[in-house]
Order: sequence, then C-alpha cells, then structure tokens
Amino acid sequence: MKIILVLLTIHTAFAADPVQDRDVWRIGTKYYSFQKDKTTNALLTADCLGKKKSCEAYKALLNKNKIQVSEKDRAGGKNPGAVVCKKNYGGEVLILRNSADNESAFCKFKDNSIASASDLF
Amino acid sequence: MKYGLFILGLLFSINSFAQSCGSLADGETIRIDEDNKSLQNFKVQDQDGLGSCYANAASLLLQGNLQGNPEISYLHLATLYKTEELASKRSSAKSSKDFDIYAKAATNNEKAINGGGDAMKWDLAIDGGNTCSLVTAVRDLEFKNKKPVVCLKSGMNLEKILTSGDAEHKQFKTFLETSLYMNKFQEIFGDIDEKPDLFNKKRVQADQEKYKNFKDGFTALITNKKKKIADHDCNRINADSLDSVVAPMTQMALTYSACFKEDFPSKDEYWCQVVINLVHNPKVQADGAVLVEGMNPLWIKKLQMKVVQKKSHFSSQNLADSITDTFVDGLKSLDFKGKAMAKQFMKDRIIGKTSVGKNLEALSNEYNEVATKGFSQACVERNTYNYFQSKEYENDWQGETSLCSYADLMKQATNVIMKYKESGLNDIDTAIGFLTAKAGENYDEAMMALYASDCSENNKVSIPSNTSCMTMDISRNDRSKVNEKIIEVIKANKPLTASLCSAIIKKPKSEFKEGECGNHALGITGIQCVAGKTRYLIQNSWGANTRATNQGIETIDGKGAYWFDEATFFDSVYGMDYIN
Repeated sequence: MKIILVLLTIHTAFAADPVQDRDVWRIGTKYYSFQKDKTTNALLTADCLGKKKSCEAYKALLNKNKIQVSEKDRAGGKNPGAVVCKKNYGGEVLILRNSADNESAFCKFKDNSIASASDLF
Repeated sequence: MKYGLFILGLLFSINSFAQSCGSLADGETIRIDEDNKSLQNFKVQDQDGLGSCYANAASLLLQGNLQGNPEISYLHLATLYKTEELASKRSSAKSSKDFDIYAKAATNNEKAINGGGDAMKWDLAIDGGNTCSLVTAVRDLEFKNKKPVVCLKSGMNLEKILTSGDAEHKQFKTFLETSLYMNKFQEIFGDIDEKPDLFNKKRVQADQEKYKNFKDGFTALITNKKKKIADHDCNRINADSLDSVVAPMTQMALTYSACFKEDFPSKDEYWCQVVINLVHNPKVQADGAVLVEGMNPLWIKKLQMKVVQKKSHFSSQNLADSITDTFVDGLKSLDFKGKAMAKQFMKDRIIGKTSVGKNLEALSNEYNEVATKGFSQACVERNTYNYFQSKEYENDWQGETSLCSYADLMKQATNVIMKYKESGLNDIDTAIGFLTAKAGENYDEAMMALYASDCSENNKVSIPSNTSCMTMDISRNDRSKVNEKIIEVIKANKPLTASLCSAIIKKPKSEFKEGECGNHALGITGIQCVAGKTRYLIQNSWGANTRATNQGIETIDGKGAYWFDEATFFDSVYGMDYIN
C-alpha cells in the first residue's frame, strides 16, 4: 500500500503541467497556428520556421529596415504593416482574432507563409 | 549651518522629485483598460489599410463614456460621418471628383475583384477625419433623426463580413460586388428618378413598371419564406448553432499543440484529453491553416438534447456548465479524479480565457425568447440568411415569372444579401428596400446608405444630446496643464484620444525626415508615475501585435498598446480630445 502511494506521488509529481506552445489566431472557422521567431521576434507560421531561407515571410521580416512608407500611405493612420504587405509584397492581409477576440493584421505571402504585419516595417 | 543648508537642499530636491508627476503620486498607476474599469472589455482593433483612425479613436472614446460601455462599430462611425460630409458636398459640388470612386465602370470593378486595379482606392471614402467632429456629427444626426443611429459592433453587417471566414480582403470585395449589382440594376431599370417630362416618357414609364414588378415579386418571395421559417423552424429551442458559439474553445485547444504529437508523453493526461477532443477532424491546408469541423457531432447531439430538455431559464453560466459537464462526462479514458480536473481545466483555461461566455449570453437570450414568446427572431434571421445560400432559393426565384427574366440581377442581388449575416437579416426589409429602391437612386448615395444603415434598431446605441467633445491644442497649453487634464479624465474612469505623429512609434522625433509625421489618432487609457516621471498609456488601432522600436516607448505585449515616456509623448502629440 505504501509502495503504491509512493508511486502515485512520484507519478503526480512528474506529470506534465498544461503547456501552451502556440499562438493561434482565427478567421471564421479557419485557425492559423504561429510561433515566435527568436531572431525577428515576429509571429511566423510553423512551416516557415522550418525553412527560413526560402520562406518569403521570413525574408520580408529581415528586409524591414529598408522599407519606407510614404506620408500618403500613412494618411488616416493606416496600419503601415498592412500597406507594406499589399503594396511592397503583393500579399494578402488577413485580419485574424485571438481567443479574446482582439484583432491583428497578418500578411500572407505568395508562398502561403504568414507573418504578423506589424513586423514588416 | 552648512549641515542645515545641506539638509534643506536635500529636502527640497526630494520634494521636487516627488511632485514632478503633478497630482499623481510617485508609484501610482491608473489604467481604465482593466479591473472593472470602463474599457476593460475594449477589444484591440486593427484598422488594416483603412484611413479610419479618427473613427477607431472615436469608438474608444464613446465606449469609455457611454452607459454600459458598449462596443461600437468604428466602421459605422466612419461611414455615418462621411455620409453627412458627402450630403453637404453633394448639394454644392455634384461634379466633385470625390464621387468618381463610386462611379467606377462595371469592367473596372470586375477587374478589381479579380485581382487587378488599385485595391485600396475605395477606402478614400473614409480616409482621414477628426475625432471630435465625428462625435459631434453622430450626436447631431441622432438629434435630427430623433432616434439612435450608431451601430454596435456585434450588430453591424460590415463587421460580420470581415469575420465571415473568407480569407480575402472582404471589405473591398463586398463594396465592389455591391457596385456590380447596382450597375446591373441601373442598366435594366435606368434611373428611376428621371423626370418623365425631361426624357422619353414612355420609356421611363415602362422601366418604372418593370421595377415595380421586380420589387413586388422579390419582396413577396422573401416574406413568404420568412413566414415558413418562423412557423416551422423557429418556434422551438434550436440548438443547431451551438458549435459556432463554442469555436473559440477549439482555438484555445489548438494552442496546446504538443498534445497532438503522437509521441507526447502527457497525451493521456486530463488536459490533453480535453484539448484533443475539442478539435474534431482537423485538416491542415496548403497555407498551414487548420480547418476544423466544429465539435464532435456526437457530443454536440448530446448537448443539444440537454439544452432542449431544459426549456427555459437559460443563462450563460448554466449553458457553460452544460457544455463542460456534457463534454467531460463523455471523456471515457478519465477516472473520477481526472474528470474533476478536466472540468476545472475547461473552466479556467478554455472557457474562462475566451469569448465563449459572451457568445453564450446571446444564445441564452435567444432560447429564453422562445420560452417566453414561443418564437425566436434570431433564429429566423439565421435561417433566412442560410436560405439565400441554398439551391432552394435559386429554384424559387427561377419559378417566379416576374423574377426569372432577371437571372443575372438575381444572382448579384443574392451576393449582396449574403453579406448580411445573422442579425443583419433582422432588418431584411431594409435590405430588400435597398436592393429594390435605393439602387435606383444616386449611385454614391445608395452605396453610403448600404454601409451607413445596415443594422437593426435594437443594435443601435444612443449618444446623449448633451455629449460634448472637447479638443485641447497641446501647443497652446503648458505640459503641467495637459498632464493635469489627463489625470482628471482618467481618474474619472474615462479615456481621451491623442492626435500625434505615428512615426514616433518607430523612432524619436530627432530622426524624422522632412515632412515625415503620419497624422494618427490613438486612445489614452492610463497614466503612471515612475520615479517622479510620468508615463502615458496609449492604445493603438494597429492590432494586438504592434510593437514600438522607439526607446522612449515600452510595448505592452498582446494589447496593441504602449507606455510613452513624457518626452516622447510631448514630442509627438499635438492635440487631445475628450468628452465633457
């Protein structure tokens, strides 16, 4: 009996706690799963993290310091990331929501990789 | 003596140091975006490529000031404001270039829908404005109309279009598809308002006859269908929509991605069992998106039966409990202790961390409506919307002699109606009115009417007639006065908005290029005093992931907000608005 109690205690002590390791955003019934890239600190789709050199989203993130947004394109407080996504990269802006219903713009590139739009400039 | 002077000097400097935040005590922080304050339920906005910052800021200002702190549609605010602007412009300058953006040729519209053309041109309609002017305009509009005019975000069709699940940039597409419909309408019926004595009288009368037959036929078709739905489908507790309500639970489950790996050692733990079972038939698409088929249909069926049996006195709490109990009791691999932990995990980490509670509130209201009135209006709206997407609808209008000759028009009209989701169909009569009457009027006026009037009366919010929006010009006031005004308003649990140069978010003013500013309007939702220095909490509308790179700004992760230090604030802010 004592042995069973000890084993149970050990099992409980070493059982893993719930771990959230993804940032999930949705639009309608479509869910997009992201991880934070350590180099750029941006949210990137997982497949991009696995093949950074060929991933358009990652290349765009590295290019951000070279991007300028004109005064006209800032008019009315436009989200510069959304503007850059469309104008500079011909990408598609996805306005996704997290589970608390907060919005954020993401840029989907032609190779289907996706990055948070705010990190593009 | 020297010792005394030294002590005096020390006391003086300590006193100055402590007083440099004005009437805010050192170490004090006041925020109104949390802890039962006015903006604790404010959802971070992302205005995308729209130049609507003045409307985003106004929605924050109004939410913080109005009773009940309602979540107002910034898109609706912007379109109302511009409708009023356009109305006055129209009377004085019909040939103004402002109207060209609405008067695009059908071919240009089609080209733009298919990917060509300048996809951002249409938003010039709501590009740029002033926060206080907008608040005053909507207040006056309500006074003129003698009823509320501003839509809640939840009741606004345009908002729902944006979250409909279509990955495309919906705003623009919706606008252009609607314009295609209207072009077709005008092509068939001409301008219904043409004065008969100015043109060919017989032709105009023939067009008006055709238009009347179309309008009567279309209205009758929809009215009959609505009645059938009300009598057969919506006179009972209808639990069909439960799986859409609980979608955020699936979203939260997906964040525990380790549970989906075959070799994960904790796969059998209570929390992984909850997570795995909340995601039914996941399919990963080419772009990495995961398509999920809602919840497990067996579980949904059990839950639906439980809900239907209850019959009355629904609340978000008892619906949440039903969801949790039914779901966890179905997890056969868990023992009694495991199920208890699973229920707590669902309560704390799944339902408690998402917007499910709010969704359940709306659903419980619908069920209670059936219990008390024998009928659910929300159910009719939802089912009528689904009808427009069905083959049955196409067969019905093709079978109507007054409608079948307008095949192309009916298809495009359906596209327009399909943009009116759920609560928008509560006002289906207005939608039909627009499609069959407004479209015959001036093109730009009709377009603005579509966007500026598309929510039902019970989704509108009143702006009291004594609402007074004040603007403070920063250049004409010293810093201490500005600071004290912010402290005063924030302490009263209300926000302010700031007009500033958005370039400051990325770099200090000393690094601005010639003419570089980027006029922008943001919210002020907090203030703090740290070591005698004031910091201001600034809420942006560039999404929850926005980050600042200016050293004088600290980003608050996941909130789309920042703490501006005093120097950075006064380097960039040139105006402040607040409601008196």
